[in-house]
Amino acid sequence: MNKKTLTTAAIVALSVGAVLAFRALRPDPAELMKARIAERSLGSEKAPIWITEYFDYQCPPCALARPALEKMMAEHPGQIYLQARFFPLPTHKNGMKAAIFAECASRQKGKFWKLHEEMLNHQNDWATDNYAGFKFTSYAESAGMDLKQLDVCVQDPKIKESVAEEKKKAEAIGVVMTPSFYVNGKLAVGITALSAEIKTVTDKAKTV
Amino acid sequence: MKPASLFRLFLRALLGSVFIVSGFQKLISPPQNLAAVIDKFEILHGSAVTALSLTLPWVEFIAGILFVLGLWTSAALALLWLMNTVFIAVLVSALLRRLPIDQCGCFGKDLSIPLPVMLGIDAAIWLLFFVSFFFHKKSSPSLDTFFARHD
Repeated sequence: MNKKTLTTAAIVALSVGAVLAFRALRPDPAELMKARIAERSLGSEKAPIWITEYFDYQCPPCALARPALEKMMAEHPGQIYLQARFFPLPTHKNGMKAAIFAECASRQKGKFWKLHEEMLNHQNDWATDNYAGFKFTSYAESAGMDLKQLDVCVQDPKIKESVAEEKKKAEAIGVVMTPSFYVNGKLAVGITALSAEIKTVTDKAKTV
Repeated sequence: MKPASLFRLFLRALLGSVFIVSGFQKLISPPQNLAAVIDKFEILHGSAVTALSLTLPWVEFIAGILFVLGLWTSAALALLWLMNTVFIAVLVSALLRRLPIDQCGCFGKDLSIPLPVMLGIDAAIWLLFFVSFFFHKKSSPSLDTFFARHD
């Protein structure tokens, strides 16, 4: 081998090594999936399929994913444990505010999923609204939330920090877009990939 | 170093860096993210999407490094320019088919560039490759020149 070929091989080996080193620094998604947020989950923790959804309230495909997820849970009764996690995108002006209201809903027992559905079902009504908070409050009222408690909660800077922290942890494991799902620790981006992954998991379970 | 030689080196470093950064970002991210993006363009399906999402970032990254260093410069230039041309063709095809790319998923800040803007950036890169193509045989600091002198 001549010097040029050897140099090329060394450069390629170093480049591959650098990439692999960076990949090794990425946290293990399985560890993050273990953490449970009881008020933002559906189904039994004993279910064989754990889905963690990273979503943004203002993202249209996330609103479309909601009925698809409901359908999947109905088709696989008792088989799916779903966790909802926030990933508000900076390109959506009301995404963070919606996540803050939802986080506050999760701190009032049994209210999270009601507000979650209301916000996703009426996404077009508030997406570009400069005063989206008023709409979220009206959804919270119809969800039967304690509005005084909600008001104190949404103004607490720690709530925004906790949402941002949740997103930061997701970014560290490689989430870049919404909706993204982790199915038993494996990433599936978009609802089509999620359906395919669930089919793989259920087919595998049948053959075992 | 002569200004013309410096310009050629700068052009090579600039173009190569675009692909190094692009490839590296994809490589350290789970391949499912790139697969989702490729899937949105509705050109490839199934295992072809997976295969491309696993190989494309490596090709971008390694060819970019070789181009910056001036090692196998002609081959790296041909490969990068070809990839850039294919990207442009795919973007034009998506625009002509009016694909609802935005409705398939929402991206973070870095990835939320609208298709026409992306096309403009790729077209500018294509022009820089065109300029680079005319100069690539001429002398500029590179490992190819070094090995040609010393072998």
